[in-house]
Formats: sequence, structure tokens, C-alpha cells
Amino acid sequence: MINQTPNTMKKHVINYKTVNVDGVNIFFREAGDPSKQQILLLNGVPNSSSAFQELMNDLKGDYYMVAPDFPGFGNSDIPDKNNYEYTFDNISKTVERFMTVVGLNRPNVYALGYGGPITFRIATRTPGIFNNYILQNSNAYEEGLGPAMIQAAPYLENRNEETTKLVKPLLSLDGMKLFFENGAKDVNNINPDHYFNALYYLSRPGQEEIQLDLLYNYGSNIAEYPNWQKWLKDTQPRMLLVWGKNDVFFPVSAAEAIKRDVLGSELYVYDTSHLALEEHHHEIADNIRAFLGQ
Amino acid sequence: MKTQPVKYLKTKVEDLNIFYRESGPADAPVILLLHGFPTSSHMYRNLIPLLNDKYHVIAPDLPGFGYSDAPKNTEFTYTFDNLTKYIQGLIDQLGLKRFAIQVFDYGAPVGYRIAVANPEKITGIISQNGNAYIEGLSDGWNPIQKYWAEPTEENRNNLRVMTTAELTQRQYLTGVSDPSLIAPESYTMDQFFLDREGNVELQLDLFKDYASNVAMYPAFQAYFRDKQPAFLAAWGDKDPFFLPPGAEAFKRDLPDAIVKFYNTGHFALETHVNEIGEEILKFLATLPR
Repeated sequence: MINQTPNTMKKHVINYKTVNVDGVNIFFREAGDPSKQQILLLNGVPNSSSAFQELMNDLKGDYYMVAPDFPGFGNSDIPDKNNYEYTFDNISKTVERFMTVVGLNRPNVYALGYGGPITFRIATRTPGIFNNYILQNSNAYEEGLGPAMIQAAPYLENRNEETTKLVKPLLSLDGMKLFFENGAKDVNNINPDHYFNALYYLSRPGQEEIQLDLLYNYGSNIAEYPNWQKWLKDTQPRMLLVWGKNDVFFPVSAAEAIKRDVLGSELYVYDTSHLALEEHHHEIADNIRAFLGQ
Repeated sequence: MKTQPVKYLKTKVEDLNIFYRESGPADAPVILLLHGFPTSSHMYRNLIPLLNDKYHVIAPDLPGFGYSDAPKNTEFTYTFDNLTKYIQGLIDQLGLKRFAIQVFDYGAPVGYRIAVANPEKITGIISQNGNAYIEGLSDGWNPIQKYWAEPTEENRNNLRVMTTAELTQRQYLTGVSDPSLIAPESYTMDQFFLDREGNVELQLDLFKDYASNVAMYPAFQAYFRDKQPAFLAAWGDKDPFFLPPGAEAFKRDLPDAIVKFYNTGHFALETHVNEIGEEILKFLATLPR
């Protein structure tokens, strides 16, 4: 029997837990007092929930936060691809079930990178499931695809040996630097633990195949972009946009496109990389406090 | 309150690149954080943000660990004396005149060597499971002590298990009553470094040379008695390597030492960083500049 953390200490620690969701053990980071406003934090490549470690540290006194690793990522189970379909649609279903299993009730959502398509899929499938939206370096518009995505486009359209060569480096140390350091204001601000640990997980046996499958499936997100744009225009969700403007995957044009369609959305731009939290988690934490209130 | 960024830096000390984390106001009192096996300055990632408002924090990686250079053991002598030389070199290069040290595990014999050599520079010492007394050594040291007594290939090979992913994880979980407090990246990060080519060999060399630390315990103790440095021991009392009597023993030579125990294992900062951090801040506030 695991000792329960005393209630008085809840807001001061981050817990690292695992829960079974339809046969898949999903790892998640949990912080804060569950009676406070809830935030579900979603990220995929390259570092899954660990991307949020410092933000959770900043906000653990103010909100209840839950950050899962998607199946196949980080510390979650890596089901065999014969038993689990590595698609954005399927992962979004697992995440929606996860929300029920851990007892989230109309949480706010913070979506980064792959977390965006997961969020849009859940939100369009189950209206009203989220309260407020925080989007960071994710995308729903053609014009939001940055140079690294354009370079990957031939692979998304046609997966073969030749096009695979274009995207494989994304899973190497050079790829990690593209996510973490490319566009950063000062590489001395970037904690090397984060990308070496991401690389450690991505280097496990079987990971390459899964990650390439899912990346190939990103094409299904681009096909959904028009539906998500319609949803954004029609429902006008309350939305905070925080953006690393030098992101080579989803640059600030991705944020500006959303801002055009979601009239009340607020945009804060930082002079940094895709993983804007690395250099600006303190400022983004302040943006979130101002946006959500306490 | 202005939040302090953390910088991740490297500098050349003699022939090696030494990595260090630096944070806090440049003109604030300095605290040097020294890590243990098999980790790196990564182990201080949660403590640094608690200290960096008021203190100038410097947390290096020892040669062979983390992001500092890790030459093969055929090209570099992995002894605690030699590791200390590089940390001393970093101190000199950064021009640190007066500072507190916080030591853990391997960081302790390095830090105590530095204190013995530079008593005038040391404002105070925090030992988190950083041993200096025979009574602190548990039975967990038996296989290593056997290797000291009979430095055979067989006894060396028997220690390889201590560098496996399973043992690294177990080091973090042993003695911890709530495993959900242990971040997986604590042990996966360490394992990433241990799995690098040649790293296990240098770790085995350091296991062997740990005997030199035990041989120096009387010198460390004499330093404590003679110089009476301000001293805080913050100790996970379920540590399978360094037992609570090792923490109590400081009081023998340092009657004013503060000794605090926490219900946790070897890597006490993984589970009790807030409580230990609070105690450290209280302690640091009493030190001269």
C-alpha cells in the first residue's frame, strides 16, 4: 500500500503515477490541489510530459495539473503495434478515457506540439469537454507549417525508403536540438538533461518504428485542419496562445492564423524555440495565471 | 519577486571540459553543490530554484559524470584526489573566494578534501548523506570493501551489477515510502550517462579508490575538530549505503552541528527537497559572507 501524501503537502510536490486505461498503463505527472482549477497538459515528441516539469513546478501552488505520457511515449506502456494503433485519432481516444479514469472534470487544457491535434480531436468529438484552451507551438492551419514540417511533407504524403530518410534524423541528437535549441535565444539557457533524456527514451528498441508511424499519421491531422478551423470559428473557445516564434515546426504564423479566427484570443510571443517552456516557463506561468485567474 | 534563470555552462579546467549549472545573483553568497554516484548536477535540479533567489549557486559535474568530459580510464586516472583537483581548478577559475559547500555521496570526499585544503574559503558545510565516519558505512559496502582487500578481476566484475538500470532505479526507490515522489528521469538520466561507452570501467575504478576516502576519514574529522566549520547534516535515514550513525557522528567532532533526519532513502532531495531546502536556507542565513 502506497502511503498517501498528506493533504497539506499536496500543493508542494509533483507525483509520478501510472494508471491503467483500457489495458494500457499510462504514466502521468500530477501536481497541485485537486480542488483548484484543473489543467490537462498534453505533449508528444520528443519529450512527452517531461516538457511540463518546470511549468508544473511554477504553478503547483495555483492549479491542479495532470500531464500524461501518450501510449508509446515516455514512461507509459509501449503496446505492440499489432495491439494498439498508433494514430492521432486512437491516442486522442485513450487520452479522453484517461481524463475520465483520473477524474478530470471539464479541465482547462494546455496543448503543445502533438498535444494540439489530440486536443482538437477530443474537443470536436465531445463538445464542452474542456473549459479554457492554452495552445503553445501547435497547429491547425496550412500557413502554420514551418520549414521542418515542409521538409517532412513528402514523407507525410508518401511513406517510402527515400522519404523516410528525410524524417529519421528527427529522432537523433540533431533532431533533439531542432526541437530544443534551434531558435533559442541562448543555448546556455537550455537544460541538456531535457534533450538527452528525451533521446534516451526515443532510443529504446521499437521506438523508431512507432514514432515514424505516428509522424506519418500527422497527415491525418492536416486533413482535419479545415474541420478544426471551422470549429474554432464557430465555437470561439476562450484561448491563450503562447508561442516560441522561432519554432521550425509551427512558427508564429500558426498562432497568428488562430488569432485571426478566434477573435478574443490573447497571443504572447517569445524569442525562442519550439519548446518555449525551456527558456520562458516563468513568463508563461505568469501568462497562465493572468488568463485563468486563481 | 524576480525569478532567476539557470545557466548550463562549460569551461575548460586543465585538459577537461567541466560542465556546471549556475544560477542566482552574481554578488550573492556562493554555495557549491557537489553530486554523488551515479548521478550529476541533475540531482540538484529541484534544489537550485529554492536557493537561487538569495544565493549564487554553482553545481558542477565531476569528470566522468554528467556533461563533464569523461575520458576513458586508460587516459585519465579516476581517483577522488584527481576529481578534487578539477573541482579545485574550477573554484580557482571562477575566482570563488568564500563559499559554502553542499556535499552528497561522492561529493562528500571531494568537498571535504577541498575544505581541508582551503579552510579559509569555507563558510559552512551541508552534508546530505555525505559520509565521513566508519560507522556510517552499511553492509552495502561489503562487495566494494572486498574489492579493496583483493583487487582481482573477479571482485571487480562482481561490482558491475551496480551500474545496471535495475540497480540504478533501486537506489532511488530503496527506503522511499511513497514511490510516486520519485521522478523517473532521476534514474533514467543517470542510466543514460552510465550506458555511455567506457563509463562502467571508470566507475569501477572509482569504487576501488573509495578506499582512499575511508583512509582520509581521520583527516576530515581532524579538520572538523580543528576548524569547527558551521555544519548541517540533512540525512535520509533509510539510506542503504550511509547509515544514520554516520550523521550522528559529526556531533562528536562538531558539537554545534545541526543533524536532521528525513524519512527517505539515499537520494533524499528527490522526495524531500522542500523540507531539506527550507533547512538549508535557515542554515545558510546564519553563515558569514
